[in-house]
Amino acid sequence: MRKLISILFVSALWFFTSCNSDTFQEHEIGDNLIDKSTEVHLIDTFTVRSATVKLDSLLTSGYSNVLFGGYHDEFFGEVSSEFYTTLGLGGAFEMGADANGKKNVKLQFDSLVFIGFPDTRYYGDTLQEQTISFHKLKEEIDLPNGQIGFYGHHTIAHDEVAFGSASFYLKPRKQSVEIKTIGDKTIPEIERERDGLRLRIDDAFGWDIINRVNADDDTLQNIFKWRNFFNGMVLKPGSENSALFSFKLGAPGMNLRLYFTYEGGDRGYHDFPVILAAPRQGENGLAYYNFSNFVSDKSSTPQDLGRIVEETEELKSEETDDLAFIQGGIGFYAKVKIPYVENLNNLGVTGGVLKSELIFYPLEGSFDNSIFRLPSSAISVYVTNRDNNRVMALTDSRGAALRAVYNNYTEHKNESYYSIDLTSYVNDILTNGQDYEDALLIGFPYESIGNTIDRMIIENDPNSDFRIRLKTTYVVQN
Amino acid sequence: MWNVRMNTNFFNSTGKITALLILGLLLITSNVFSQNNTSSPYSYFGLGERMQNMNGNSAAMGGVSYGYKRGDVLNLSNPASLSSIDSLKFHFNIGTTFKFSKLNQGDKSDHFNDFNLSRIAFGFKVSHRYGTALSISPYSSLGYDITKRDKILGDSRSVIRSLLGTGGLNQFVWSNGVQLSKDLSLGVNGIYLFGNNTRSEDVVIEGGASTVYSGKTELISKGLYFNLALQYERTFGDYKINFGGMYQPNISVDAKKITSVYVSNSSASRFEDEDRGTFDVPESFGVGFGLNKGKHLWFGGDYTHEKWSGTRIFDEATDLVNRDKFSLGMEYNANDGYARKFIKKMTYRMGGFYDNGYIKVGGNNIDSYGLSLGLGIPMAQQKGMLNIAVEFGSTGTLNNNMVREDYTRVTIDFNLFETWFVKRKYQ
Repeated sequence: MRKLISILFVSALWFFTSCNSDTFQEHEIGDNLIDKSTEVHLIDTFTVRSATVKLDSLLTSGYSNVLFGGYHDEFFGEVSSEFYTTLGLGGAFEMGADANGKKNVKLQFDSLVFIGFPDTRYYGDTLQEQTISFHKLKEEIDLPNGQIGFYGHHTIAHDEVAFGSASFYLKPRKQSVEIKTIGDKTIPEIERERDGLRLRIDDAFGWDIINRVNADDDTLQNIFKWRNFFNGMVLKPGSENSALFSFKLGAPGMNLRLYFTYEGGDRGYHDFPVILAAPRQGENGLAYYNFSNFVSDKSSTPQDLGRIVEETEELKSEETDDLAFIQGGIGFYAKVKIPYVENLNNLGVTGGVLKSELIFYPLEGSFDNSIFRLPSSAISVYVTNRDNNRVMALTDSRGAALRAVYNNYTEHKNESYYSIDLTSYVNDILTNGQDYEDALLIGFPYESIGNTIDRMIIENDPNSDFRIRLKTTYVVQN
Repeated sequence: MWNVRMNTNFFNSTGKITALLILGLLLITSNVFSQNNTSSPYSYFGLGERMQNMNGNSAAMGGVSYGYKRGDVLNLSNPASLSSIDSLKFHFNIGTTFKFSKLNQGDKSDHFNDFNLSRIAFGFKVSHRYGTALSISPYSSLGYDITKRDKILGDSRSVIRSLLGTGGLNQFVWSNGVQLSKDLSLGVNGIYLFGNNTRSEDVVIEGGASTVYSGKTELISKGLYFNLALQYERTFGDYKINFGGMYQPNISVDAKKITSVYVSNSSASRFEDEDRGTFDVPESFGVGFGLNKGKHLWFGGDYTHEKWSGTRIFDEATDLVNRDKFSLGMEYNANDGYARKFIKKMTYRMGGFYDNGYIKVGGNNIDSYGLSLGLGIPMAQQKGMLNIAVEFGSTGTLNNNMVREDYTRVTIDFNLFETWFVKRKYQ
């Protein structure tokens, strides 16, 4: 009996405990009774200082495309990019065999054509005529030990006189495609003439090659001899060019194509391709034997941006009409300092940041919808120090690189702004402190800046509503 | 001299009791059953919602207990009464409470069911004049879970605040009652107050923001206090009157306070602090009377005053207010010793109370009142009593957009006896 009672009793306990109300359901009732132990403030009055810096050593090798061309920019001055590259042999180039099996049929020069495929990216005005000229290099493109690519400031001596040149109109979208078929009929390579950008250049260099082929010269049969014969070339934009654009490398890539006819009538061609990566002479592995060289003349820009020379220098926004500049290719970054953010720690007993956003506006009138557009590239943030070293890239909570977000208000265009979520960064400063020289670099991702066209001008007039602001929602624990 | 001998296996019983005590401790103090003893938003205030931990007899009579004295009841609210518990028995008492409540505010309402073990106690007579008991019961409970929308100062957006209170304080009580003279008994409760009041607050920006601000405060009590009591009894012919009294000084109970603040997606905690200090249990007194007419009818009343005003928690002044509680109750024992019908064997009880509470919110005292009914059902072979009490009550007010809690509280309480101390005629 007693056992029975005990068992009944314990089972009853179990039964009744299981019919308790859930602890964690939401209840609105009583919300007005509770007095606050915390207060939540939005604070956006932090001092935000800005400057412009120019980073060195921007890698311009190894991308699957290359930037080429130039434009004139009201704020950034003259900007141009030249393309240095070796030219592959594309296999032994020898006399042909005719249909009857007769060997060593001589070749007749037809034309020398540059073939390139722009991709759709461009910056500047494509309605103007652009020019391109081809110059032989006087030295071999050779990489220093341990280096697999080149930086944007690198140059190599070359002939002043071009071995070829041409003018064209850039149609980035149309010229980017290969037309391989018409209907279901495949067009043979030799008959394809309308796709990409095809520019006939001077004959002289083509004649030289054909003559060597007909003389059975082994320069065109051995890759090393070919390299000794032809160090490489540089593609230069004309001084009046108005667009910076991108050529694809790889497939379809850039070629110098030599068209010829066999004695007897058949047409043929030989491609000297631009190769993305080539084996290193005397070393293991591949290396990039081509690169862009960015040139920018900023001496007559309104804010005299030519004043920045060394990477460790900074040009304060106070000295540049309260503006900060970012530019791909050249390597301009906006440097942003928020020196007093730690003062949040003086509020209440403690507290925490629920959200902290850096907000900045592109200078009104510095961009438009057609020629000088707002960046299409991602905008990254780096933690930096006095010497403008990139200490680390900021990441989001999932570890992905932090990007600026463009908040576009189509109704009120001038109120559109960029924002960067700095919540974790600011919380870390509040917990761990920051040095006086700690700052952020805002600009295009460093790993691809040598291949980035865009630019932007950021407003930071301390008296303007459009200044750079740190908008912080802070919980104060009283 | 009194010769003590046991006729049951003492060690067997001790084992059982220990097991039940451990079970009780688990049920009362832990979240093993994920129970919350209360769901009232008022448990946010002070030390939490004060728990009822009276036995089933008192619970059925509006809580009257100071002048109550019966040989088969462990009346721990007045330990002086322990001096007259039945000397041949080992008393075991376990009480459970089911509270079905409806929270009302404006035109909104919400239902909750809360279950808790209200006490486990055992006691026995040590000598002719001295009875003692040990018990565990909850002292106060936190069980609020409130979501609140607040404006961000200087912004058009809002934050969502989630306030959660869990845990509570429990008391382990050693009760002693001594009969000084034929009329007068004195008692003392030595109390170890332990447990953990945990309050947390999470703040997020309304609508999709991922960062959460979390603050958490734990008040961990580990301290002692006590109270004193007396009962004075006189007989006038058919009537017996019993006066009871209780006094408890203001005592600072040792405690620890742990505060921590975290922000999600952040590498380290923003704030951590561990503080040792005290919190006050208030100076209190209570007086009551009980009147017996014959063997069947009992009538009594209690008044309790607790001076919460001016009490401090970790050197911070509380805004608690003094509490006054009035109770009236009566009991009718239908059993004349020869009853055969079940109905005639039972005890019937009823009572009521008014309690002005110890918290004041927005200028309003959060008071309670209630009526109670109960039955005492004897178990077979005089093994004990099953006491059932039902209380219909209300706490708080709807005025000023406050919360009123209407509840029905059912207390089920077993009084079990084990005959320990019998001197056998034949060994």
